[in-house]
Amino acid sequence: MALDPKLLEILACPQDKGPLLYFADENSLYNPRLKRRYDVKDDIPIMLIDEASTLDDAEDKRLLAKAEAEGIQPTFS
Amino acid sequence: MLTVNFERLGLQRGERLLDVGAGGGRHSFQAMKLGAVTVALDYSATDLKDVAAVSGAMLVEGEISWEQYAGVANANALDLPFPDNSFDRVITSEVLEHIWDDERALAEMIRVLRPGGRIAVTVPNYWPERVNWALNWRYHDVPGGHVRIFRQREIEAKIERAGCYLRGSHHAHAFHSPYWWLKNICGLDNPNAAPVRKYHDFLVWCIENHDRWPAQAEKALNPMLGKSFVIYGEKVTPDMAQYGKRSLA
Repeated sequence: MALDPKLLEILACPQDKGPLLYFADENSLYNPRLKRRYDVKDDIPIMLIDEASTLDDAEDKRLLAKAEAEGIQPTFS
Repeated sequence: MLTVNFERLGLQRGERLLDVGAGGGRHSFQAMKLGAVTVALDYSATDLKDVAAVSGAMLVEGEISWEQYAGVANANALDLPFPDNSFDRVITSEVLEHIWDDERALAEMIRVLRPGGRIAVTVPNYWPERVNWALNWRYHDVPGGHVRIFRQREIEAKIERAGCYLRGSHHAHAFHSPYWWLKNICGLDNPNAAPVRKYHDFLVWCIENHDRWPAQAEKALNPMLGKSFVIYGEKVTPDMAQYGKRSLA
């Protein structure tokens, strides 16, 4: 089950408070500014700074291209 | 069993509410029943799984609708994953006594609250809590346990400094104070001790008969014996904030 739009529209990175890209099929939320990815486990977004992973440039490029191709918009603007 | 009074919180249908440290979710469930778009947040993912499961059951039973259930978020109160001014109401019940940097947690909660929005903060009441600490050190001195005992003036001053007008306070759960004293006397690893069990049965009976004399008696005893102290704050608007040096950061 995907995260609810009512939650997504206010979900931000706990570190810089900016919007995220939600990849429902990968169960992850991505902050392209800090290149930090938050996992979604059992429909619960794990928004803990210590639990996030830092992505390398290749993975960053892949996710940005995917967001562009699939029309994935930031959680808010 | 609610600690916060939702009327004093000023909750209206359709408003967005954040429950910081939702735990078992009792305040989140009530907020959803009252029509708030509710986010339950906790540091424990295990608790959140239960909250999500119970919410799912309430959806199936028709007690709440999808319009109310926004979801759950596993996060730290010190670093909330929301932009500024994103909630109309915030509840944080029996949380700040667990957090060393309680002022940073409060600053975060006020940051995500919109100007004019209200927050309800509950902490253990000073003297029943003091008795608990004196009776049994294990009551608080455990990982994740209570790190301080708030004086009423201390918690009020911290809420004010975080950028809120104080909008009144009250006590709650008078019958729970003796329960914890009994538990501490009988040993926290001994939940089946006869006095603890009997008093627990009494508490359950009170909850089941909440429309009869126990509720009135507890209400009368709350100012003196209340286990919890509840304070309501209202976030100042930017045009008011400029008149003082008080920081909204």
